Amino acid sequence: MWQMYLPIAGNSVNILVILGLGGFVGLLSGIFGVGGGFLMTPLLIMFGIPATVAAASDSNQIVGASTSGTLAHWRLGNVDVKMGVLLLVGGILGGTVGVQIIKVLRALGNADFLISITYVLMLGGVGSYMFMESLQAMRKAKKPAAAQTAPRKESRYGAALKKIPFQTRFDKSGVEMSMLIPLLLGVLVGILAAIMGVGGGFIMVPVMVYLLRMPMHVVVGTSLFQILFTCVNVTIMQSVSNHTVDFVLAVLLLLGSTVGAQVGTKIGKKLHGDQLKILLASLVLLVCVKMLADLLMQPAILIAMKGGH
Amino acid sequence: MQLRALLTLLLVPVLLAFAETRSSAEVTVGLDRSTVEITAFYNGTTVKASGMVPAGTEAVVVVSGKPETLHLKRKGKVANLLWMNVGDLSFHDAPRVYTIYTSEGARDAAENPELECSFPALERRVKIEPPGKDEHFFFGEFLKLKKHDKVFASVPGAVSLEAGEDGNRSFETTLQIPPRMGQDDYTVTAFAVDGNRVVDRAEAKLQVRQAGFPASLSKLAFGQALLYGVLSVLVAVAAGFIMGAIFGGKGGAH
Repeated sequence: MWQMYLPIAGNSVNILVILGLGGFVGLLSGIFGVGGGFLMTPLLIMFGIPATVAAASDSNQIVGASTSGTLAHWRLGNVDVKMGVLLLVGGILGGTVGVQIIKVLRALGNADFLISITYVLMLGGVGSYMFMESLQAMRKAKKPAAAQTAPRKESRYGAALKKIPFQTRFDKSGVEMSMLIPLLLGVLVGILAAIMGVGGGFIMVPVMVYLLRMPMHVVVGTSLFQILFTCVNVTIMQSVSNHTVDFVLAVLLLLGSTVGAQVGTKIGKKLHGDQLKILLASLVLLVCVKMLADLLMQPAILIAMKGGH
Repeated sequence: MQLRALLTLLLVPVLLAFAETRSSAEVTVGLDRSTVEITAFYNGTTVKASGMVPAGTEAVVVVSGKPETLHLKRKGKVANLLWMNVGDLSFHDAPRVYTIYTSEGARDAAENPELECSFPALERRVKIEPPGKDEHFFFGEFLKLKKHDKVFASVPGAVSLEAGEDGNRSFETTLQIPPRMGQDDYTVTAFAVDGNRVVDRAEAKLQVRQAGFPASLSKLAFGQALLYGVLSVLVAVAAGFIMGAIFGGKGGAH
């Protein structure tokens, strides 16, 4: 009982387990604006879903969760469409470049080694920085009770940004900068995401917080908006070229995750930007530790199906 | 001419006698159903196999899938520290499924290299590329992988034997069909085993096929991939909107 057969994955799963899994990951995306593929894909593999099907069906699920999350954040005024579109266009360009880079890397050999190391270093670096930074900000905020967000002093970085052409104002984010900056950062994140085989939410969120200096709540909403379109693209591409999207699996997952995303948004609303950042940083560090452990411990079986990380 | 006729006359009774012993010592196998249907809530099933083996022999029943080429990744240590994929391995003529059920008297049959139905004999048939001295080790890892997925297995002592007519023995066993054993044609082979020797064998066909909802969905996914992809996206977006409407309505304006 409670088992359902997944025709593309070629295995059956417990409906309740998959609903719960979807709910949990949806919750995380509602709170932090990440897709959650980094968590979902390995968990699905653990439940006997082939790696390629797990990744593709998960992106189909993220379409549902991020629609739900974007909508919830939209109501709260947390989606900067202009910024999101620029990042998205950059991300698509970067993704295309990244796919070519990975082909060259694979041809040279040792690509997996490079990818794993980049991944761990990146997660470790970003996670630690975010953690320290938000910890400091929280301490500062405690002393002068009134000052919630200390005015940022004009750094050299900020001054340089002002000189780039195509200056424009991003109302929702409350920042003014050249349109080229989010476009270029989008390209960068797209390249990294393609090389590492991840959705990119984990890199995009810190980029928006620290390099684009957007307020944390707008970052979450805008990130979800952007992830939605990326995953629509991935789902259709995977269906057409690899036939790896399992619709039954995706529907079960998104029944959980769309609810999770709504609840997550409500939780996120109650948290301060710095609290959100520190929680996300802990999550990033946790994933980093898990990846490192995978790399250091001998696997039980020394051969594996293709398609995993 | 006369000599040939004489020889023929002499040979015929010998041949007849041989045919007779063969028929009295024939192996048979049958299944309680020849088709397993995968429907929406399918979670694997069982199929009963039964038949006869000659007196004095043990029964081994093997369920095997079509041979295929499998491309796998080899894991190894890089820089003496990190475990990761270090190369590709191809397994040619590796059956998708290989489960061995034995009678009590042939408990070791799955591991007996002398018997063609065993895993060591399968190892001789599977070709690993690139070849090398580690082949035996990698075949062992391949077995672990397949056993983990429950598509390779050995179940010693699962075949029950009873004395039947003419001194032959009738056997019966329950074959486990795991959900991982997908849509395909499979062969169920019954071997009559005497020590290190297969005396005779018989085959039955088992078809596993998707039916109803899983079948229509697979057809769409492989036949009209673009439509399938777009529909998947639309359903996901609709689910997101519906949840948004439900929660948005209940939560009031923020």
